[in-house]
Amino acid sequence: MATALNLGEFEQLILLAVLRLGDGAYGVTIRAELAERGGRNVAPGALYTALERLEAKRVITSRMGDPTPQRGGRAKRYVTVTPVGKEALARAVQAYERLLDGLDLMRGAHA
Amino acid sequence: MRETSCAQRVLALFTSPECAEAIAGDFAEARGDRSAAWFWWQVLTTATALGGRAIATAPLASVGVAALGVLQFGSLAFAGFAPVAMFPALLSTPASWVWLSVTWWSGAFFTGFTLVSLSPARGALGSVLLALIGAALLLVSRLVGLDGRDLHIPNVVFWSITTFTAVPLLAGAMAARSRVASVATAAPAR
Repeated sequence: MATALNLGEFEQLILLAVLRLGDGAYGVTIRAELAERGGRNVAPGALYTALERLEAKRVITSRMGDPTPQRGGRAKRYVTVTPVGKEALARAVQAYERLLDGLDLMRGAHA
Repeated sequence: MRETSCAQRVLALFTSPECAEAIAGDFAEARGDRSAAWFWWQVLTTATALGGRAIATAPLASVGVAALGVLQFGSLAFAGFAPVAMFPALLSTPASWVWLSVTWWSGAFFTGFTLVSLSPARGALGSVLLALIGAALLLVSRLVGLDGRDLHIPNVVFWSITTFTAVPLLAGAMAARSRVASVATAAPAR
């Protein structure tokens, strides 16, 4: 039996940010999305190592865009979540939902 | 532009050429009005993180490549030092400094180049490990045994030559990495 792919919390946040950004997900926009919506000021080293890890797990794929002058003539590396990644993310969210069932964290007390 | 190219070369020691290009471009784009110090801080912390990940992914392979580098550079350094040692009159003369600089620095460049050519994935990391460990050992050895004689000019020159060896070692690794990348880029076009 194949072992289910587990994602860490940071990896889940990255995948959610990539899904939100759609076709425009690359290093700069992912960091901005994580800061804006996730409230996390992520170190670039942490982001790029996590992206390498996720690509090795085949959870994301990447493709190079066209070089642009404001980037010193360097191309963007666009990231997309694979079906495997979406499945793993959905499983993680379901696990959260099951664990949260019956808890009321917003009131700071257990139901 | 020049900074971005330089950053890309540094990052390419720790990740694929495409990733290095994209990350360097990301930093150039995010830089805006920020200083060069900010830019290089991002590059160095990211390079360190990527290097750490590469070691964690395959620790034995990384150490093995570095050990191969130690053997290769050790042999070349010994070959460079032997003629000077055989003729004690040459010791501490300008001719010996020039000879040692040429043989050791070219040996270091050749070692970095060979490691990356043999193992494109781990060679650069092995070269960086070798450079860092070598520089750290030299620094510690100097600090531990520091006395008045260490500040004599021959010692300072010798120490400078050995410490600076890390630079051609990394330059060799970068040169080979660029060569590997250009070959990989050209291959699909054929």
